Amino acid sequence: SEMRPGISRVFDVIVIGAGHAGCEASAAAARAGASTLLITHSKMTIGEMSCNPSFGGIGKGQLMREVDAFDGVSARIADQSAITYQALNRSHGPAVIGLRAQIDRKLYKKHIQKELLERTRNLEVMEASVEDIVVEKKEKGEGNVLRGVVLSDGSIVETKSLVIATGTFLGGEIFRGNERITAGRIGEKSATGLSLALKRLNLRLGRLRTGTPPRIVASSIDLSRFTRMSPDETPIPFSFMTKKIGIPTEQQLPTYLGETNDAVTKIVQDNLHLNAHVREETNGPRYCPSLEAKIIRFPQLKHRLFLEHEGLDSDVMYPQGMSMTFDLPVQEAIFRAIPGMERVEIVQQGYGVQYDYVDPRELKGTLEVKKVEGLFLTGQINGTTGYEEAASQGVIGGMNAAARSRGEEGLTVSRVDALVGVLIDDLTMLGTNEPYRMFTSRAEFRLHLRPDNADMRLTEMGRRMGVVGDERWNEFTAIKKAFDTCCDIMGNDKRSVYKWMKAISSLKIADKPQLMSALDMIYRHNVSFDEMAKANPSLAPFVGDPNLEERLRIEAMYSVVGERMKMKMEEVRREAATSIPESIDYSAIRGLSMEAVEKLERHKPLSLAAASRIQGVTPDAILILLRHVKCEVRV
Amino acid sequence: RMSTIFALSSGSLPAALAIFRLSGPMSKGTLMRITKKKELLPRYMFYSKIYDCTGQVFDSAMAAYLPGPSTFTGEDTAEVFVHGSVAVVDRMTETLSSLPGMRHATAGEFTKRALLNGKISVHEMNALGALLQSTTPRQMEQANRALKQGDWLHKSITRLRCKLAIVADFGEDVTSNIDEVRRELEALLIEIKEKRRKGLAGERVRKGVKIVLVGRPNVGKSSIFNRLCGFDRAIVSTVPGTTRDSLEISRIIGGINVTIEDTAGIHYSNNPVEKDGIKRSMQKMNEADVIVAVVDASREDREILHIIPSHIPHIVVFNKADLMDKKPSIEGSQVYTIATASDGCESLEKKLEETLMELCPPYAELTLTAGVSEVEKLIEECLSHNDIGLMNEILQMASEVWGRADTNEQLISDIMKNFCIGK
Repeated sequence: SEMRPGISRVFDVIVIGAGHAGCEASAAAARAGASTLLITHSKMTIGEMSCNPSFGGIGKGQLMREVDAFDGVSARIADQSAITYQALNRSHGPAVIGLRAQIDRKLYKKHIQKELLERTRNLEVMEASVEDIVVEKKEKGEGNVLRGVVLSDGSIVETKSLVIATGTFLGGEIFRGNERITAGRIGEKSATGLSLALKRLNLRLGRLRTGTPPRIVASSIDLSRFTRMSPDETPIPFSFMTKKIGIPTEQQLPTYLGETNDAVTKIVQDNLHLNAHVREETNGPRYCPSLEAKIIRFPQLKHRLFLEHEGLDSDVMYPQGMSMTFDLPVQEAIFRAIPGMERVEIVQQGYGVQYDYVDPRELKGTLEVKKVEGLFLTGQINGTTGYEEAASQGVIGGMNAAARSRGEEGLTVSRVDALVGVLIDDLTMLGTNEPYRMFTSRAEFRLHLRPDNADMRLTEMGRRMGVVGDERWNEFTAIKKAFDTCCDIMGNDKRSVYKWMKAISSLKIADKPQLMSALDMIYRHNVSFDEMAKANPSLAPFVGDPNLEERLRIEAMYSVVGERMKMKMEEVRREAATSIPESIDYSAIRGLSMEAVEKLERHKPLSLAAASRIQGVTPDAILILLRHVKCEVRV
Repeated sequence: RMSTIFALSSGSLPAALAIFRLSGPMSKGTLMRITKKKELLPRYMFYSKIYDCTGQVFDSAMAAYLPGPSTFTGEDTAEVFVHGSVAVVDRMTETLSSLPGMRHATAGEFTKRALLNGKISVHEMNALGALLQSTTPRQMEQANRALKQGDWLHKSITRLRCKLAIVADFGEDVTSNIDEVRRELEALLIEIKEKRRKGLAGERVRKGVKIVLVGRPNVGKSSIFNRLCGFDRAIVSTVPGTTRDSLEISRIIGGINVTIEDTAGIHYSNNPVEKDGIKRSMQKMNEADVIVAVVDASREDREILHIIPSHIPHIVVFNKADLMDKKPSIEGSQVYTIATASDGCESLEKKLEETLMELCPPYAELTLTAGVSEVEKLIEECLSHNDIGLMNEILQMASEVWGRADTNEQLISDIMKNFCIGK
C-alpha cells in the first residue's frame, strides 16, 4: 500500500485491542518509553471482563503476580476493584496457593480506563477499526518488516512494531441455539479484515471454541438454597504494591455454591440436537468448558455451579460452570430445574464463540511473528483462554514490541523462571489444538514458580527491559537486599542441635548428629524469627517485618529439594536450547518407534524439551532424537 | 527406517511345527511376498503355500498378520507356522534374510522393541525373562504372577501423583482430600515393605536354594549325599577324609530348584591338601541357604554344631543312629538316619522340604528390582511434609528413581480423561 499524506507521526508501538492482553501490552510499551498508540473499537470497552467477574485462581494467581512483577496494571487495578478475596489451596502450601478474587466489572473498567487514558505517559488511545496491516519485504534476508496499519477509513498509521491483541474477534462467530452470527463479543463486530491480513502473511490459522454462561438476576434467586462461601478474613492482594485493598473485607460479598441435578441432565440431553455449537465440536478440548460437554462426557455426575456477584451494586450474577449455547427457553428451563432458581430471570443468554487463532508455533519466544519483524501477537489470538493468560502475554509482548522499536531482539522468559515462560514455551514450541489454560502441573519447577517470589524472579528482568518504574524498583530492591542478607546470615549459621537448644531455650528436639542451619531451624523446627534473632544478633535489624519473615520461611522450606531442582533446571535449560529443525523427517531417524514418529510428526515440537513433553514420547525416543539432532547440527 | 526382524521362535528341530515371528514395518509386505497373497486380513489365520525368493514353493503353512500397535512389540508383526524340519527352517531363514528390510533378530530383540515402544516396563521384562527361563513349577507360577501384576509400583505412584495434582490444580473442579492421599501413601509404604519381604523369597525361588552338607570326617556325609542324589555320586569309604573337594548336584525338592553340596570333613588337620579342603568347606557353609550338619550318633563329638552360623537355617542329622545309646537333647530340627541302609533318609528329605517351604513360602513374589529401597525412603520423606508442592516433587522423584516417570502433561491428560475439569 501507498502511504497517504496527512499522517505525520510514526509510533514506536501500536496495540490493537484493549482487552486484558492489549491493556497490558500498551501499558508495558508505554512504560518502556515507547510512543504507543492503543486502537480499540470503543474506549468504553477498555478493560472489559467479557466472561467471569473474577481474576486469579490456581496457576492464574501466579500469572497475576508475574504481571505485577513486571509492573503491569491488572494486578493493581484488580486490588482496587475486588469485592471478594477467596484464595484457593490456602492450607496446601505456598507453591500451589491460588490467589483469587471476585471483581466488580464496572469498577475494574473505571479504574483501568482512568489508568490508561489519564495516567499513562507515552500512551495515546484511538477509537478506530484496523482493516489491514502494511509490511515490506526485508532488504536483506527472508521475511517481512512491519510498517503500519490501515484503518477502516483507508488511512495508514505508521509504526515500528505492532501488537495484535484482538482476542476472539478474529473471524469471530457467535452461536446461540441453531443461530450463527458473525461477531466478536455479543453486540460487537468481529475483525475479519485482520484475519485476512494474517492469512495473506501465510500464517497458519486454526479455529477454537469457547463460551460464556447466561447472566441471571440476583434478586430472582433464593440464595438460601445455596452454600454460602464467605470472603477470606485476611485477603491476599494480587499486587506486591498494594498496601490497602479497595474494598474492605466487611463490605465484601460472599459467593454461593450449588450443583446440577438429574432434571438438568435430562433437559440438556433432550435438547442437544438443537445446538449447532455442540454439533460442531469435532476436535473439542479435553476439558469441559460447557455444561453440554460436561453432561455428554459425565452424565452420571452432579456438576458444580458457583454464583458470583458481578458487582457491589449490581443485581446481576454470574453462574460459573453453566456456560451453554442453547436457545433462551432451554437455558431458562435448565436454570429453573435447580432448587432456589425456580423463578430465575436471565438478563443475557449464554452463547458460544468460534474464532480464528494463529498457530503459536509461528511465534518466537518473544511473541514476535517469525515471518514479520515487528509484528507481535498476544492473548487469545495465540490459542489461550483466560484473562490472566492473556494479560501475562500482553506484558511480555508489549515489553518486547518496545524493545523491537529500539532495534533490540527482546526477552524470552524461560520456563525455568516464570509460569508465563512455561505458557509461552509450551505454545511456541508445541502449539495447541484446544484453548490453552494454565495449570501449575505444566511447570517442571512448580516449587520455584510461586506467587510469593514472582518479584524476586522477574522484577530485575523487567527493570532491564525498562518496564519497571522507579517506585516499584526502589521498594523491590530494599526487600531484595534484606532478604538476601538474611538468607546469607541464616544459611551460613550452622550449629549442632545441642547448640541450637542452648541458644533457644524453648527448643526441644531429639538429638540429631548433623549440623543445622538457621534456615533449617525456622522450617524444620518452627523457630520464630524473633527467637532466631536472639540467637543470632546480626538478624536483629530485620525483626518486625512479617513479609520478610514469611519469605524466609518459604525459602527455607523449599531448600529441602533446592539442590536437585537447580540441577534439573540446568537440564531443562539445555534441552530447551536444543532446537529441532522444522524440516526434520522423523520417519528417517533410525530407531524411533512408529508411535513416537507419529506423535512427533503430529506435534512438530521445536525443541528437545518440547518433544519430551509430548504424551507417549518415551525417554528412549528423546535420546535417539538428541543424537540425531546433534549429528545434524555438526553436518 | 526401522528394520524388520525375524526369528525362529519355537524349540529344537525336527518337530511337527516351527514358528517364525516377524516384527517391524515390512512384516506385512514380507508375508504377502512369501505367500503370494494380494491382501491380508488382520488377525486372521490362513493357510498358504510358502514361496522362496525364486518363486518356488517349499512348504505349506498357517500364517497370520497382526498390525501394531496392539501386538507384543507394538509394531506390525506376522507369525508363520511352517513344518518343523531342518531343511524347511533353513530355507525359510534364507528366504526371509534375502528380502528387503529384513534381518535376523539378535537375542532378546523382540522384547527390547516391546520395551522401547512402551509395551512393557523393565519390571515386566524381568518377569518375562524369568518365565522364559523357568524350570520348576514354582518359578513359572511366580513369573506369571509378576507378569499379570505388571508394574504395580509405577501404577501406584502414578495414581498418587495424579491425586496430588488434582489437589494442587483441580480442587475447584473435583472433590479431593489430602488426608485420603496420605492414607494411600501410608498403605503403599506398607505394601512396599511387604513386597520387599516377599521379593527376597521370590529371588530364592528364581535362583534356587543352596544346601550344604557339613560335618566332621567319617560321619557319613557322602553316604547321605548319595542318598539325596538318588545314586552313588560320591566315593564312600571307611577312611576319614575321603572327600577332599566339594561335590555338587542339582535337583528339585518340593518344586524348588536346589543344589546340594557335599564338603570335606571339618577337623584339625596338618595335611595341606586336606587343610585347603576344610577351608573351602567352611566357606561353603557360610554361603549356604540351608545347612545339613551331619553328626556321628555313636560318638559324643558335637563340636560342629557350635560353628554353624546361627542365622542360616539348618538340620542336624544323627547318622549311624543304630549305634546310638540314647537320644541326644539338642534344640532345633533333627533327623536320625542310617545312611548306609537308607533308613531315615525320607524323613531328612521331608525336613528339607519343610525348611524350603519356610524359605520360599507360597507368597514369594518376583516383583522387586533395584531402586525399591530408595523409593521407600522417598515415600517416607514425602509423608513427612504437609506442603502439596513438596509432596508432589518428592513423589515425582520416586517415580524417576523407579525408572518410568510419566510427564506432567501425561498426568494432566489422564486427569482430564477421568474427571470433569473446567467451568
